[in-house]
Parts: sequence; C-alpha cells; structure tokens
Amino acid sequence: MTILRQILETFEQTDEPLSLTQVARRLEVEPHLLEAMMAYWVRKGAIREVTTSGCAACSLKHNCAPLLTLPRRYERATGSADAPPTPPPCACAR
Amino acid sequence: MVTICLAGNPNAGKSTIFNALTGARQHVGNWPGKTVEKKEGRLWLDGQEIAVVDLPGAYSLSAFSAEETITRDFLLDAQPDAVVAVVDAANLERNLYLVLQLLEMRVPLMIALNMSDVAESRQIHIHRERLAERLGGLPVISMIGSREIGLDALKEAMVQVARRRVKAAPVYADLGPAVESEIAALCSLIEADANLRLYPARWLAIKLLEGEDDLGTRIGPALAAAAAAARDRIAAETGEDADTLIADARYRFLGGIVSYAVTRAAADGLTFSDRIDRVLAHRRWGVLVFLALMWVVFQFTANVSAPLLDWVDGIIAGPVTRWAAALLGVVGLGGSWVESLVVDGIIAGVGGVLVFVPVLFSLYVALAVLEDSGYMARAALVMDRFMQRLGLHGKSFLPMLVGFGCNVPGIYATRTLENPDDRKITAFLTTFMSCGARLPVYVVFGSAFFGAASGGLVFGLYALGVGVAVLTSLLLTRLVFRSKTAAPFVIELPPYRLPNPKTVGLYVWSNTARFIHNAGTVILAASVVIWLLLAIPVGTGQFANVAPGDSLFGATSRVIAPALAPAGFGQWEAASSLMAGFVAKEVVIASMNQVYTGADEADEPEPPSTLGEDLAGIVTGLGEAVVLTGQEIVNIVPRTLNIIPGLNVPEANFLGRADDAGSDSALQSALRAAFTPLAAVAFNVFILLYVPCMATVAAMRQEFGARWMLAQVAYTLVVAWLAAVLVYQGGLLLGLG
Repeated sequence: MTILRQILETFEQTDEPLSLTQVARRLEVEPHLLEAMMAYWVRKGAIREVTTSGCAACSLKHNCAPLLTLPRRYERATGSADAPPTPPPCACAR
Repeated sequence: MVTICLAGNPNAGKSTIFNALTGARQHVGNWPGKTVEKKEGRLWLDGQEIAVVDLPGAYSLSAFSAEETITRDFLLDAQPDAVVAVVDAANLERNLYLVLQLLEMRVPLMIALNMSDVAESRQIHIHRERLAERLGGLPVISMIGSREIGLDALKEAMVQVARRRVKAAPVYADLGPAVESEIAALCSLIEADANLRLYPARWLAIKLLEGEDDLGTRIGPALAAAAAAARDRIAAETGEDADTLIADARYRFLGGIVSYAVTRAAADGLTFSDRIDRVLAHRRWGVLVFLALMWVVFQFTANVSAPLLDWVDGIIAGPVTRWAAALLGVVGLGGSWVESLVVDGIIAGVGGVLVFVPVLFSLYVALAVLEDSGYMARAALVMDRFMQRLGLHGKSFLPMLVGFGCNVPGIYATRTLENPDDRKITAFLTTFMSCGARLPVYVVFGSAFFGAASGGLVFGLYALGVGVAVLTSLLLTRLVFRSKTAAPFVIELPPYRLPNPKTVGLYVWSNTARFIHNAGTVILAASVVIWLLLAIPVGTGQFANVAPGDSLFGATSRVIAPALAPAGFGQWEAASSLMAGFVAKEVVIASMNQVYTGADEADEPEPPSTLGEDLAGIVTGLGEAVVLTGQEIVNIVPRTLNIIPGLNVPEANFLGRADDAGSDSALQSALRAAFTPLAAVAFNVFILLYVPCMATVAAMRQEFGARWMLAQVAYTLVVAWLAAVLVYQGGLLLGLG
C-alpha cells in the first residue's frame, strides 16, 4: 500500500483530529516528508487542517500566539455537510 | 528577446526575487481571462535585455487551481529560455514536488534555494552540491532574497541556462512497474502524433495518467481514450488510482533526495533545544523560570513603555489639544460647547486611550518574542500541572496570559480550547487577569498614597486577581461543571530560535493596529456619551456649562454611590469613575480628572507656544523618551535583583533627573482629600475585580451567549463589592483605617 493511502486510512480509523507528529509516529515517516504528503491530500480535499473552534475565520490566525503554540492538526474531510459550522470571525481580526 | 520565468510554491519568495531582479522596470496586469495577477519585468544581463515573468504560486502542475493551470500553460506555450524554480529551503520536501514536475517537463531549469538563512536557523543544513547532483547537475543557488544575497550568482546562472550552456541529466522518479509500462505505451502514441511533438512525451503521458481533464483541448480523442483505459488497467492491477501511485512515487523519490542532501540537527541525539528544555521545561525549575520571565515581561510592559507613554500623553494633552482649540477658534467656535466636546470629550477620551499604545506595544513585543523564540509552548507545558489542579486544561493558561495585556483577545484566545466547558471557565477567569488598562489606576493611587511602596500595591493587585481566578475556578469546576472530564494535554515543542524581527513586527503591528482601531470607534463613541452626560445639567445650569456634580452624570452616580459606602468610597465622584470604567478601564483616570479636579489636565493653562516650538518639543521629547526607554530596559536588572532582601543595586539615570513621582499632583491631591489610604486600596480592589470593560463583555456575549455574559457581569460585581468591603471593613477592624 502506498504511504499516501496509509495516511488517508490513518485518518479514516479515527474521529479525532491528528497532529503531524502523531501520524508520523504511527506510519514511521519523517515528519517533514509527511507534511509535504499531507499537503497533497489537503489540495485534493481529502484531508483538512483543523483550525480550532472559531479561529478558522480569523485573519490573525497566522500570528496568534496561543494558536501558533498548538500543534497543527488534520482530520478527514467528509464533505461540506459534515463540515463544522463556521462561527463568526474573531474580533481580533477586525 | 530572451524570456526567463520564476516558478515556485506560494510564499517561497518569488516576488521578492522578482523585485530584486527587475527593480522598477516591471508591469503588473492580469493573465488573459483570469483574475490572477501577472507580473512582468525587464532586466539587462550580459548586454542583453531579458524579459522576466513572475508566475503565480503553484504547488504542482496538476491544475488544482487557476494558478497551477496558468503556470503549466505558460511553460508549455511560451517555451521560456530558462525557468528559475524558487524553493523555500526551510520547506524543501513540499517545494521539491513542483521541481520534480518541472524536471519531468524538461524545461531549462535552475534552482534558487531561497530563505537559506531561515533553514539554517531551524538547523536544516542543505548540502547544495549533493542536491544539485541528485537533480541531474542543475545549478543550485543558495539565496536570501530579502537581502539580495546570492542575486549575482543567480543572474550568472540564468544566463548560462538561457544560453543552453548547462548540461543537466534527465531526472525522473521511478513510478513503479504498472505505471511505467503504461507510460511507455502512451509515449509511443504521443511521439507518433505530429501535433504533440511540442510536448515532452513522458510528461504528457504522466499528466494523462493523472487524469488531467483540461488537457483534452491539446490531445485527440484516441489518446484520451487510451489514457482512460490505461488508468483503469492500473487501478485494476494495483488497487490504487494512478494519480495517487504517481504522487506517492514522487514523494518517495523526493524523500531519498532530501535524506541524501539534507542534515537536520534534530536527528542527532540531544539538540540545543533539548538541552535548554532540561531547565525551562523542568517540572520545578520551569515554574521558577516562568515566574521570573513574567516579572521581566511586567517590568518591560509597565516601566519600559513609560517614557514613550509620557511622550504621547504630552503630545495629546499639549500640542494636539492646543491646535484643536486654536483651529476651532479660527472658525469661530472657540469657547463654545463644540470646543468642549472636541477637547474635553473626544481628545481627552480617545487620546486617553491612545497614550497606552506604547504600553500595549511593549506587551505585544514581549509576548511575540516569547512566542517566536519557542518559549510560550514550554510555559503552557510547565503550567499544565497547576492548571490541572484547578480542574482546567493546560492550554487554558495561554488565554489567561494574553488577558494580562487585554482581556478581549484573551476571551477570543479561548477558541484554542476544544472543550466548551474549558472555554467558558477560562473566559470567566481571564477577566480577573489585570489588563494593561487597569494599571494606570493602580499607579496613580499607588503614588498618591504609598509613594515608593506603590510597587507593592500593584504587585499585590495582580496577585489578588490571580488568587480570585483560582478560587473562582475551584468554585466553577466543583459546583457548576462537575461532569467535566480533563482532556489530555498535547503540545508540540518547537525548537528554540532567535525571534524573527519580521514575525515579531507583524504580530505587534496587527495587535496594536486593532487597539488603535478600537480607540477610533468604541472609545470615541463612549467619550462623546460621557461628555454629553457631564454636559447635561440636572436642575440649574446650562448645557455644557455645568459643574460635574450637577450634571446628569453626577446625578446618576449619586444613586449608586451609597451602595459603595461600606467599601469606604461612597462618594458620587468615585461611583462616576467606576461607571465610566465600564466603557473602558482607560477612561477611569480621564473621568477622575474631570470630576475631581473640575477639568481635564489638558485644560490647565500653559504658556502659549508657536507651531514651530510645538514641533520642536515633540521631536526633543521623542529623543528623551528613547533615551529613557533605554534606561528603563537597563533598569530591569537592578529592579529584579533588588527583590532579594538586603540588595540595593542602584538604578541607571541617563539624564540625571530627580524622580518625577510628583506628576499628576492635582489629581493626586484631590484623591488624598477624598480617600483614606485604606479606602484607596479597597477602590483599587474594586477596579481590579468588577465588571470588565464593554468590549470584553461584548466578546463574552459573542462567544458564550447572553446568559453566560450576564452571569459573569453579576459574579464580578458581587465579588468586587465583597472583596472591597472585606478589605475596608477588615482594615478598620485591624486599626489600619
């Protein structure tokens, strides 16, 4: 089985978002290479990066100290019907 | 004309290199039929004019997006003389995926290994020769585009590649037997078709197997059908899409190249970060280091920013106020209610907020440096055990830390917590973290009543805020959210590094700009309302010509004042300041200035000055403020050492001035007349604990709904009143009154 397929199956086996490190440990893949491979599935819409709660709509998320401290996590993208509702944008962004 | 294009992933630094190459000789437009920006420029190299095209950022040539389609079509149709693949050296694996596809396309290629300084700072060492070797002997130029380092070598390589003087061997990833056999079959068909001779056969075969539908206009139906059949055969034989098989093989191939050409320090035993973490992330030492760093942060925030705060305050209270009054005088509104509104309402109100920009700037600099250095993740880790004891998640610490700067972003920072109960409790507690806006109140009262010992009052109030938060947390987790289960705390510790000035600058700017924006909206409106309440007479008096005590503001405050009498500050003036503080804590001092001294400080008569004198004063003041800022930075060391009993390290005094503790004397004299020292402490306790500002309450409502917001408002009012009464009455019982 290809590593790319194993990545996808890892996410299919859990409902929890997984961090890069967690997936890298499970598949024993070098994290930097894994990150690049995850980008492939993200581009194809099979996996999405989880931005905690309301931060998805925040324009400051790339500079938010609390957010940047947290590990980047991903989850299986199961279509728009299952996508979490987008909360109002963070007031930090206004 | 020779055409050279720049291709690369988004954020790889293409535009920086494009600008460095072309300077002002560039034209910006749109790609035909697209809204994607097209940048073209001119460059003279080796006596020849060269057209440089900055292609849109693309992760691959697979037409996932308009940018990728444009890049692919330009390379196919324009046939550039050289292609510079701009690669982010710190994200090599991801960036090389595009490079590999460019190699498949057989374009005249070279690599600009950009941001090599960032890669080195992350302990990623790229052996350039090894990388070039594995890429078939392509020129690989190490660059720092932002500083134009490597630019000359890049230009030289561009000429060599464009003139076909570089002999690069073909480099292909082995895509596996199933795919390779179908590629071979498709290549035969492509090479037999005269219309397709323009295209590299292997590249086109791979694209067809990847299912690139939009290539249909370039190929005939027979080839499309053959490609579809080939994809089906691959899927049947391997149980996997050809697309995924190809991508997987490419990544494996890249993994091999990178493991040969790149050394990462993290792979070799204990890293520099690991060694530092032995202390900083230690269960006990880590907490001590954290407390010490927080001390430095508060010193930095409160004292280092003070000279610039005074400078801004001086400008707003002095020249800006004088210029506004003079301007209104010119248009015939001098001495009218309009002048009062502009000077006493808007300038005093909005200006009263803007003077804190240096304070917040300092705080955000400190937080950004801690964050970008990688320390913040360690702080959350070492505080996790403490937070768990409170029934909270380790991550709850971060919004509370942010709350020390301003409660509003602290409330929004709770979004980083997954558990809704954790979010609610953390937001509740964050309002007890004494925000920067409350600090001026402590400072004014502290210096008025306790002189040199005012630092003790300030520190005690901060500690009290944390203490009340701890008690509240225990109360909420044991009585309200009993079923809450503690989620495991997972955090990744990034390697330590020197903070990047650009990242710090961006963080500081975005946060400070938000504060300034709020000053121009919420605070402006609130200032006008307070001015109106102070201008409307109750009973006798005229509009905008009434003593504060006889205004609507004074009358309303008198209703509330008796409830505050048990806490020792039952005067209407104190009640009015607390009411004003609901709008923003910054307004408390501005309001006190008006109601206690009868006029804002800006109204104090000053000797007339010319515009030139004002401007010279501003510049001179800035110079002094910068010198004094340096002095305060130096003084962090003696102030920190002087905490140790018995030590008395002298502080630096660059300008040789006497201590200016006597400033704000009009207000401080009025406060000494109105408050006893014990009542002053009780008042500050109330300021610390009572309802946070309007913006924080609005944030609470937005995040958690009206019920939780109202619960929080009621709880803070009750706690503040109880604590203030306890302090005052307890003090009286102990004979401290």
